[in-house]
Amino acid sequence: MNHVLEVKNVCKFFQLGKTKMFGEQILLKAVNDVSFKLYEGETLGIIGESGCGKSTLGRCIVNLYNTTSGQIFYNEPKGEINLTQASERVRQYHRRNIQIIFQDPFASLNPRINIFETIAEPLIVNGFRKEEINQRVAEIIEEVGLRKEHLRRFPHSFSGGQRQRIGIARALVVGPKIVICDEAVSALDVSVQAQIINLLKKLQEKNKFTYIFISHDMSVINHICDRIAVMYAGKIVEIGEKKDVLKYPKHPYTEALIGAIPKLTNRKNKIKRKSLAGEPPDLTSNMGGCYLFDRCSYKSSECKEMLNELLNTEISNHKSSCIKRNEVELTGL
Amino acid sequence: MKNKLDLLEIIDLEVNFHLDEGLVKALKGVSFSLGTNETLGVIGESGSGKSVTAQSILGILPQPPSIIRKGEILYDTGKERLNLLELDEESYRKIKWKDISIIFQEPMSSFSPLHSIGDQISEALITHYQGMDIKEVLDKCYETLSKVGIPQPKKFFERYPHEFSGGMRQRAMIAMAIICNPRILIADEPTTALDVTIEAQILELLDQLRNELNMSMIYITHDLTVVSDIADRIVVMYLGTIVETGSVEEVIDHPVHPYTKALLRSIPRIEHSEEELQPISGSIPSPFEVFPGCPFYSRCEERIEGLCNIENPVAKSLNKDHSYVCHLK
Ligand SMILES: Nc1ncnc2c1ncn2[C@@H]1O[C@H](COP(=O)(O)OP(=O)(O)OP(=O)(O)O)[C@@H](O)[C@H]1O
Ligand SMILES: Nc1ncnc2c1ncn2[C@@H]1O[C@H](COP(=O)(O)OP(=O)(O)OP(=O)(O)O)[C@@H](O)[C@H]1O
Ligand SMILES: [Mg+2]
Ligand SMILES: [Mg+2]
Repeated sequence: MNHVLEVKNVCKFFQLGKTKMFGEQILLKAVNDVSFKLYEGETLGIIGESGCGKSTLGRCIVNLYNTTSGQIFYNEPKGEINLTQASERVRQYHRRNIQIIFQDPFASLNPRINIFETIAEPLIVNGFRKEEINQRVAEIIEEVGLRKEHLRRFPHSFSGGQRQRIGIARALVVGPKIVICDEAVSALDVSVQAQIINLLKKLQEKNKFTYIFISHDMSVINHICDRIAVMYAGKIVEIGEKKDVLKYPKHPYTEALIGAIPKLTNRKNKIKRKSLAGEPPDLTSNMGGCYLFDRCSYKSSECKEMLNELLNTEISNHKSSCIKRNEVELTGL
Repeated sequence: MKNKLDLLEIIDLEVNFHLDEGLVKALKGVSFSLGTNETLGVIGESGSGKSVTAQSILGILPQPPSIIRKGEILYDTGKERLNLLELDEESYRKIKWKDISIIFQEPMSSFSPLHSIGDQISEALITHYQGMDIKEVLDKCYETLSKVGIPQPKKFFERYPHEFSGGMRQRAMIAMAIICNPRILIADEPTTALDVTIEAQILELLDQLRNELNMSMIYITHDLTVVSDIADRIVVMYLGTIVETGSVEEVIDHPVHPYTKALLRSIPRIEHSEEELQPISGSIPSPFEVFPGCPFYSRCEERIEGLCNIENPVAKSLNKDHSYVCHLK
């Protein structure tokens, strides 16, 4: 299969305030040497704890952040374009192809502009003509299940689910190839969440979108994704086909995530969720070896020396950074 | 459903909000009870009245714009049954944190950024036990902080809320809530802002504390899977009314009300990823809308026209453990 995007050794470090003593800077390593390929038409799920760098990675890909180092290639039939090194004009042009849907349907819409203008804005920025703008907005609004009468109204008069539809319409109206859904359903009530998940799936089938679906909810990821990448402390620690990752996890962190999934069949005092002890590491410290070390129950002294690279496992297209990936028996779903 | 052992009993509670845009009937006659040492899960979608119920119990409803129209909240102190709604501020203060205490959804907004965690945690203790000297206060604080799983309580005590991760802040919030050994702990979506691994830790901690300290707990959430994990009994709310209540086994394994059934179908389940999700049709009506009959009528798949949209359904009991409010048999 063809890949449409390649992320190569991408790092994004944030500079925090200067330390008082020597004017030395504190760097927060939000995304730390991440590489993967995204294949045409697939949905890649990115899962991990709060603060592990999922949104930062998404923002680097859509160019809302400049990367600290590394490259992002967008693959067109004509050839690969290095988005991290292209001129601002080229980047602007390709921004059309990669769109993002944000988590918070309340915060991500401007309360002072009406829905028509909200959805049309990306078209205006990209220099579309008036007739085409009108036509595209009319089409997309129907696709996401809103009505023409809604266009003149303002965000505050919509429910959370409707606002999320507006956010989706806005991201899709320019006709992107790749859509990054950053916790696109996390803020919604379960009944509305189901509507939006089904809508995203339907739109993908119709328009052949490629999705990156960011979430910390494994059940949602399981419903919508083909492949899963597991992030921990700024790094991808495991990546593979959804079924393989869930059934045969190859990294202790993935095992912990799977064990912690809330299930309707769990019962107080009977069947319990497992929890991972401890806290994620401080991203401003200089860490060596495996980042999960303090919390891992399979650790041994070699783990302090490992290099945090993704390594092949016995399953094809399934990689893990755990040096014991082929020794320890991990429990999946 | 009256029970001699009930610690807390809410009877026919009605709360209205008088807003510029109109009248919101936030609670339309809510009744339930909490037994000794039990965990009651209150579940419902956004706007169903979960937080208003919690705020009513604690006497922290903003009045105005709200008005308690009707009802009783009976609390059994061990000596007498008090109607909390009749207490003045002074008497409420004696109960708050010591008898009944709360953990809020967003730990960041419930701590003041200006004071250290320690100052804020010790405040309730100082209010309630005026005879305690500083050393006793500090010892109790350190003890409570380590009870909630904070590794270096002395260091933690001096620091400020923004210096911590969401999980650590939520632990601090729990410490503040349990420091006076309350008999009832209300947890209003305490893990909604956290991710699954931390959520599992916090749920485990809460249940363990409830056992150790002999507390009863009201656990509010919109997540049925979380409730099935921690509760003994469930109350399902929709638009300011209770539609179904019963033991976890009854409500989750044998739901009766069409709303509970629809809610269960709409959850993405890890075990069934291939099935298409079934959303509840339509959306929650605006809180300003007034209509007769069952609140769930407009979205119900089993509605009977001419009955459900005209008459208010009444509560029916399936067994001692399970009741629902619906016209259907
Ligand atoms: N603009 C910024 N400046 C400084 N630090 C930042 C900035 N944005 C994010 N961070 C930090 O980078 C890390 C990764 O944050 P990010 O938002 O990518 O996490 P996430 O995985 O999306 O988490 P969540 O599930 O909570 O959305 C966090 O430690 C965060 O505090
Ligand atoms: N301070 C307030 N001012 C005005 N209306 C309010 C206020 N608090 C609650 N309401 C209204 O009362 C109703 C019930 O709200 P409540 O906060 O109890 O819902 P909830 O079940 O806790 O929802 P969520 O899951 O979103 O927290 C809603 O219609 C809400 O808009
Ligand atoms: Mg994020
Ligand atoms: Mg609430």
